[in-house]
Amino acid sequence: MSRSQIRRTSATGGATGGATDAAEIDDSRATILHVDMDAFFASVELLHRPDLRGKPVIVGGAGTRGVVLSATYEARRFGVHSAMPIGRARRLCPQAEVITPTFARYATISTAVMEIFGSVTPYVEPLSLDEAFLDVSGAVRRLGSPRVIGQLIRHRVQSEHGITCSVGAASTKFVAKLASTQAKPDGMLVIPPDRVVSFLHPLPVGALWGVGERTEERLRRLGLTTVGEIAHTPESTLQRALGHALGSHLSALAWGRDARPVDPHAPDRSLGAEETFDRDVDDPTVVRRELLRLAERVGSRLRAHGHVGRTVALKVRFADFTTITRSRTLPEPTDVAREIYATATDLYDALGLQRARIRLVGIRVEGLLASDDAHRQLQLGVPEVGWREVEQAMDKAAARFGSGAVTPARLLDQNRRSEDRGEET
Amino acid sequence: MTDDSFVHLHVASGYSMRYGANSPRALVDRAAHWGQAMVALTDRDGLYGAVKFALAAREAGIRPIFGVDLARTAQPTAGSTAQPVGIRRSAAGRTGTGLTLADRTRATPTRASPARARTPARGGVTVDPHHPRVVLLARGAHGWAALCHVVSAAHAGLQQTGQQSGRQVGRGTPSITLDQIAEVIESTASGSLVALLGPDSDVGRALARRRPDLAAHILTAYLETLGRDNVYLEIVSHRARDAALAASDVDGNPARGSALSSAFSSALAARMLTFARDQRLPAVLTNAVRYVEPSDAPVVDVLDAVRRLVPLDPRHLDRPNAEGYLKSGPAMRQVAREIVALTDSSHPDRLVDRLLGMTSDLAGSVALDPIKDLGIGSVHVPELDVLRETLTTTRNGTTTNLDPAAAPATAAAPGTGDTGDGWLRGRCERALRTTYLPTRPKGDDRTARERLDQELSIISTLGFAGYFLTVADVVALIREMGVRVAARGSGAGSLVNYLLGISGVDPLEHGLVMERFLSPLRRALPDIDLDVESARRLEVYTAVFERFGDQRVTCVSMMDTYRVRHAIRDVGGALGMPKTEIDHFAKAFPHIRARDARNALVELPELRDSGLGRLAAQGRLDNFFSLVEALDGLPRHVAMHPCGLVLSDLTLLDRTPVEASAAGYPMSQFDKDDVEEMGLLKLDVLGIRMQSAMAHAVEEIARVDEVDVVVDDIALDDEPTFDLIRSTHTLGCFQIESPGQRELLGKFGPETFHDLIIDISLFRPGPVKSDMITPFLRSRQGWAAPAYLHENLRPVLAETYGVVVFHEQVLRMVAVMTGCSLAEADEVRRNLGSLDTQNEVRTWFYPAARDQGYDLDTIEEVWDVLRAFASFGFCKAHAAAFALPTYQSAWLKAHHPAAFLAGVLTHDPGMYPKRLILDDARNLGIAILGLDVNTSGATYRVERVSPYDEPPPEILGTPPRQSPPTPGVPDGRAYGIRLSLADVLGISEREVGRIITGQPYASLTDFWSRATASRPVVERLVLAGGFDSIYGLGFSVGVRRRGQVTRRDLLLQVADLDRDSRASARATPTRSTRSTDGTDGTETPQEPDVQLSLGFDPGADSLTTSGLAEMSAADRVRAELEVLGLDVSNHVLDFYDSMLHSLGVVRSRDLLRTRSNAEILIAGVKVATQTPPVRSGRRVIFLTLDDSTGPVDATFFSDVQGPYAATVFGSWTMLVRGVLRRTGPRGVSLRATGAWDLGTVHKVWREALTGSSSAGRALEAVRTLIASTDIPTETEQAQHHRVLVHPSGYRQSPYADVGTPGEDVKRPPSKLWHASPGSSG
Repeated sequence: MSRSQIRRTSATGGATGGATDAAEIDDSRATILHVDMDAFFASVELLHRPDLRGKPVIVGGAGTRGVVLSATYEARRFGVHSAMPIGRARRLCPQAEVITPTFARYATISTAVMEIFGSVTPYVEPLSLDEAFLDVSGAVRRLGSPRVIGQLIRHRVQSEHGITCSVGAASTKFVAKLASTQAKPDGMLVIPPDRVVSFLHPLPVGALWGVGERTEERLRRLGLTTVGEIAHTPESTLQRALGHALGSHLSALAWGRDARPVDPHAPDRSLGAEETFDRDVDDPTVVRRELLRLAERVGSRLRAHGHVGRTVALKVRFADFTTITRSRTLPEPTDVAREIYATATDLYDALGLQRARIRLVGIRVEGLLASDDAHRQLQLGVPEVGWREVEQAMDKAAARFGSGAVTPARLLDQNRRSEDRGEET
Repeated sequence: MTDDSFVHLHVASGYSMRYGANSPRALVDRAAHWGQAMVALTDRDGLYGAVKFALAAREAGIRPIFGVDLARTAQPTAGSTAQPVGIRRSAAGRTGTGLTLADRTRATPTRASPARARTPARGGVTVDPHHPRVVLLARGAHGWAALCHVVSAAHAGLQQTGQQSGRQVGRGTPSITLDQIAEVIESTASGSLVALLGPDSDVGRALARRRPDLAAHILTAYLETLGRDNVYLEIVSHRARDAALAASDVDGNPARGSALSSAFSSALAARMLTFARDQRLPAVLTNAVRYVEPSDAPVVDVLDAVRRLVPLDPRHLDRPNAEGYLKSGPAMRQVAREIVALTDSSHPDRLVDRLLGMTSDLAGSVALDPIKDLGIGSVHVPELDVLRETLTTTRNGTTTNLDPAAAPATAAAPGTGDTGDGWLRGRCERALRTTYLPTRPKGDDRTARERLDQELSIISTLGFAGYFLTVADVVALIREMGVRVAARGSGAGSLVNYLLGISGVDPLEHGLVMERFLSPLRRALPDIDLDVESARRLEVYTAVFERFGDQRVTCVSMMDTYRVRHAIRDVGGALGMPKTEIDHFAKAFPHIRARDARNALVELPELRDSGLGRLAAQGRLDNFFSLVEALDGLPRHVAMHPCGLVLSDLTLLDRTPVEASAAGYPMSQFDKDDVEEMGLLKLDVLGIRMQSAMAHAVEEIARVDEVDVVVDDIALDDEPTFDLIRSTHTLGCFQIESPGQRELLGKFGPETFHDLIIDISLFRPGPVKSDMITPFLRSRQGWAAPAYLHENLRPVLAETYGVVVFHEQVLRMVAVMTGCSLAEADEVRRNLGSLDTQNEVRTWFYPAARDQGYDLDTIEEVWDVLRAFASFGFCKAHAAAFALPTYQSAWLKAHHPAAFLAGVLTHDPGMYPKRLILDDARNLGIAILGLDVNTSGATYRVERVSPYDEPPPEILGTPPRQSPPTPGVPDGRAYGIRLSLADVLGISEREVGRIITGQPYASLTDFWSRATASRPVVERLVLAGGFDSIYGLGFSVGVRRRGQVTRRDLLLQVADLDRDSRASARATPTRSTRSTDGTDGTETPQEPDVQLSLGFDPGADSLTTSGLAEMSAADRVRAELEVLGLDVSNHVLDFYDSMLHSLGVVRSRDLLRTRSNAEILIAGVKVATQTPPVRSGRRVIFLTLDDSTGPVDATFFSDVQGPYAATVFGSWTMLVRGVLRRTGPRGVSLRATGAWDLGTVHKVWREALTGSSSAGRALEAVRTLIASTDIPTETEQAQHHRVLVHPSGYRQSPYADVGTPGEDVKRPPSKLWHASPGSSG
């Protein structure tokens, strides 16, 4: 559900929406599929509220707070899109039904859908609850061409779960993802290698992975508004304008070059959690309490995965949606919530915030290693049995009595929802 | 004392900025309602509301008590001792164009870098520190002066702190030290101030922490400073929960609102009462009032949040509950009982009585008499001695021979204790004799002498001689500085003003009367306004301060009050709404009062049909808008009044509290009305941009053509000037450029200066509403004979063909009909303005006219005219004063169009965006010369050009400049106007200065190293073509050499240069680097970077070609709009040409050739929207578009606003359908029947064209679009709408005469490319 979803260009050769012209296109090398559920949260909600079908529906935080997590295409017609503040969405589309998210439902269906993918190919790289890359090159002999596989997946998702998805197929991840975006909703677009350039070049530069609003503006000033124009600009020029790395990156993408493989076991390089407040917060006490909760969560998940990490990163998003991150590398890798919390609060205090209103805080531990590999030095004056052991005990209690069986006292008496909302790994 | 009586000694009104919820009047009225004999006003930090409070108290029959609630700090604030206000004026005063830029660069104070606490990463630092507070009450004859001084002292030395922050949250928190209080008491009288130490004082806070020892220690200092009889403990209970003030120490750091609110507990109050008993100190009961009623309490929550710039959260609120309202006597007695019950008193009832008794005793001793103690109503002007000083100093460089000081002061010089009458007479008579009479026809002697005698006797009776001498002195001072000055207003009616050189209009020649200005029947100080060049206004202020001294002069403040947009912004901020949403909400509204927000949501179609209106209709925004409406009219910010100066004698600072304005000038806390009530002489010195524009034009004429033009000496009968005025090509001219005025000029066709006076007077809301224009024009054009009501009135009304236009005519009519004096007639005129007094006038008028022998029919008829005219007419003296710059500007435009428009572009005096003026210049044949780093200056400059200076049309891509099509319009083809660097987005004055100093530049590298402008500014200069001439990048089309550099190559080079600078800065870390965020980060002008110059040869840049295409014509225009806000190389509309042509859109220049009653389409860029008052009382929208051939005006009546108002206010370029009507020889008007966003229409067109490549299809698609939005029949008319009814019976829409919704039309919208053609989106 990215910004580029909204862009649709009609000049892409009419391969959307089914397999009408399948015969003419050689799709045998377009073996990377990007599957993306259409308006996933909203579609799931409609399963429970069939009366709302055909109406504008928005899934998002209740009240005037929060952001749009998902919106039906009827609502998008009014300019509503995900990540938009809910108040704005209500103003743009006052008649829309706003539904509070029920994450458990999405997770259930997501798991089931991912299982469908898994039945097609072991090479599934999930990106989030509602999208994944699939490498189907090994399945072609068994199931048919990528196009056929795509249709199969679309059919199964539709018939087994009552929701639709869109599929993009290409020889690279980057193009596959763009293709699925173009195919939305409920469509499929196959871009064989010889069509990549003609597919990419008419697209606006914003479609390129790594081009945000600022870069887009810079490129516009240079007269570069389409991917094709980028492609035909010397790489050295792009590097002068945007810096070395971004310049060559865009040059490669503009010709459809993307070497990233579909990696089903992409090792977690980091692990984090974040929380959007019900209302913007400027109370340091509240922020620290939230950091403690997040640290507990991240710590227990690190331990569950058997990971330790050396770098703790704090993310703070302010009321105006600007975001800053600060990180610090520890002398020793850790999976101890106490240590993560202490580092995160240090980073937070160092911001010296006084009047800033905070919308979201997040903690992430980076540079992950398997905890067995990590060599933990004994330190003088530090008891050998410490917080780590306490927390391991807490983990055991949680495993036995359910999560939250043992919690820091500060987090008690807060009847807050416990869904893992906005969490990512 | 009855049981019910109580006096509130601690009361905050809305003049406690963002703290109190109600007006002083509302508080006074409530106190009166409770039968309380006295009430105090103790606003925080100032006496802003004191005068209004005094007046309200007088009306309510209540004795006022004056006080202030101040923060107390332990350390004296910096620079607070010697001067009453720490004034830093010298630098800020000199910002006019009169000085060279180098001067200005030097004059700008170097930014101090105070050792501040660490800046937070985001969100700004905490404001409103919780200092302990003390309430000081004024007592006795010197009390008011002491109060003024203590407030001034609290504000002294603050102005340094807030200035750089850019936020208008105030210039720091005023605070007082005990030393400062001691100084004030010493300079006035002991006992003149009484201190109340409440729960929020340092004493109270110590007691809250159960530290009576500490409290006693602090108390000692107060007792020593103020004296034992003048310190009271203030007992307050809001029945809050008792909680220890653990989170807050005595100084309130770190302070928490919730902690403060628990301070208002009965338990603490009881402890304080006990402490008072132990210390043998008197105690009084107050309620620390912030609002009139409990229901107002939510408003103060918003104010708390807004003041602190924090979200609405319990942590930030000061109130525990809604008990802090203005309670009745019995309610306060109940509070006293509750408090006393918590003490260990053995006789609680007696203690209650004692507490209330002490309260009422103190009140009785501090109540003041506004007239006696404040000096309200008495007049104070600078001492004659001060003026005499000037007189004896020889003055050089005076520009007028009317200057009285030109003659030696001998016999007329005043003695001490003199009223100045003799002196004034001497100066006037001398001027009459030496300069006035010699230029007049013989017979005028007698008239002039009689008139002078009469005026002087009135002045003498009123004792205002000093006033006139003072004003004359100021005018002479301004003239000496070489600043253009003109008097405006009714003062032009006085011969004395003319003789003293104050006014430039001879009252006898234009039949102006004195009584409209100064009447023996009114003691109010007359009003003289001086217009000076806007760019040099502050220079004038500085000179006046230097001349009269800080002790006698102060600026006047202006209370900015909440209207709807600010209220929405502040409530939205407090509620934590996203910024973009707040912005959208605020801009959706016209500039109406906050309390009308919900009405507007229902009444205005563009709001009602928006998502906002529908959400409101669903009731979702009720809470939001009820808070918005509650803020209505509350003061939110105090600022320097743009023109008011107070001149007084040495007692000024005893009568008004003074603080420093943002620009560093001392500023009274009183507004212009208060100042008048206080009897202080106010002189309005207005900065008039047109005066600056004309001054610039004169400079340019002298520089380019070597002709010296003396604008004030131009004869008033210049034919080319009137040709221009009659042609209606008057854009840029003073007062006659608006759509309505241009239409009127077309019908009227003024031929003389007097016609111009009438024209200006006719185009006022009154005459327009009462439709005086039609009969006037009919008679003027000879279509009807003038009607005079009565033969005796013919001499009065002949000049305006029987139509009443001027106040002066009303005065004379009344005098003729009743035989009264002109002074009495002016009182009559004033009383016609309100319904109450109108009837009184009527009962007097009929018999009086009867006595003069007029018959009832005539009287009836004349009365109707007088009543209808009411307050609507215009003071002719004022109009005459106005007409002068109007004529002068038109003269300049007729004779020196390029220089004049360069002045207009530089100083932006008018209502239109600069791009329209630029277009006007183009239409006069003047060449528009692009931005050029080598020739552009800080202002728009004139250059001589010839047709050969331009490439031939086939290269230019546009036809050569044409002479203007209309006869009478000047031909400017010999000149060009060079764009100014100052209009480049984000450029600082210092950058402009450095660029000019470094001119010329050989290359971009050279520019980069020597001009040291910030990277974004250099990039914008490149994009707008500032380097085109250096690199020969003339035009967008035509044959280009292979490998020729482009603006985009230059852009890349800027990136390279920036990288290299950074690299070398890293190598030599001491050198300061330029900033990248657009601010001017460099501290001092840098020496050329030697290192860099070695790397790059400034003559030949290392330009490698990049393969980037040169900017297209559309790219260029877009860049120009983004960087300069102007379309320079092409008109925006040019890009729609083919579509507009296919649609048959009529261009401005062809309108006069279009058949009347035809339905036509027009298109253009929005340059103005207005909602003027009209007779029907409905809202009418006037829209002005610019279509590159001139402005086009269209009128939207209420029946078409439903579907189209949102487009009119929300779009920048538009297609409008309307019915044309011809109204006069050069007049047309268009009644609009529809409006569409041009970008949207063009998109439909383009898509249809690419889809079918048939122009016919495309045309059809557009026609379908236009037909699809049609006017809903009748529903609109059925809508309820409110109408305001004026006393004279005229109806006005509540949305008339307010700023319209949407963005300011003076700037193109920031996200332009999304809407413009050729965009990628």
